[in-house]
Amino acid sequence: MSESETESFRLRLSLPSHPVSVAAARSLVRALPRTPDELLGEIEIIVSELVTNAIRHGSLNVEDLIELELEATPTVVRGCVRDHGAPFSIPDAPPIDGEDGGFGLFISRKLADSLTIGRSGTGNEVWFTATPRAS
Amino acid sequence: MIHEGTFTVEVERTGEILRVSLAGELDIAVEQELVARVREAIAETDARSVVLDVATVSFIDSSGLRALLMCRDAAQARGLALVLAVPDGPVRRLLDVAGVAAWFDYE
Repeated sequence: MSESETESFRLRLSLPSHPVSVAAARSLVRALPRTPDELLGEIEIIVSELVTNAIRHGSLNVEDLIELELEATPTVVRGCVRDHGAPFSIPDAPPIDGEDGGFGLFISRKLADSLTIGRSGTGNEVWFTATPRAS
Repeated sequence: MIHEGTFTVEVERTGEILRVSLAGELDIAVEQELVARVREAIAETDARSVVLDVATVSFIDSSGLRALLMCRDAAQARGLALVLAVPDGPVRRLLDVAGVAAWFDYE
């Protein structure tokens, strides 16, 4: 196996807590090399949800940036979104019609292979992994 | 002012049907304006039913999905039936992933 097939590729982006940051975060996903289109599409949704979540529930201080990290290896894509917001958890139950909230993390959890939330300093760290579906 | 993302809303009246076609990326940046535009179209019409055509939506996440649900509720509040025109694509996939396909009626 050549070196280019084994090495990982990392991307990082700092984003202001503003709705337009969500599209910018998706652009970073599209920049991941050697990742199948279908998987990129799923990661776009996951990242969109996690950054949206950080904007909706995070700090209102515009200087508290949201940090997005992506790493593509030949077998898996890992990502992390860090914010400065209050703690939150991943809902276990599916969303209910007429009730607000909970959709984004529920969808992320279904699309990702793993989704974990941790606290770091004054904020949250949400980690995910995603791999191509076995067909 | 920062540009709030790209989407378009086109409204076309055919007989008793108001067809509202959405295009672009439906996320948190366009959620509120999208709902406002569709509400406005619904408020002005004397059509009997609304088709919300999402065939050319290129991206949607839970914020866009929430906007579609608010459009559905706005039509319902005016006594109008709202159906989705949704071929295979991003919207269909998200409805399936979220498990909410049954929350809408379809064209």
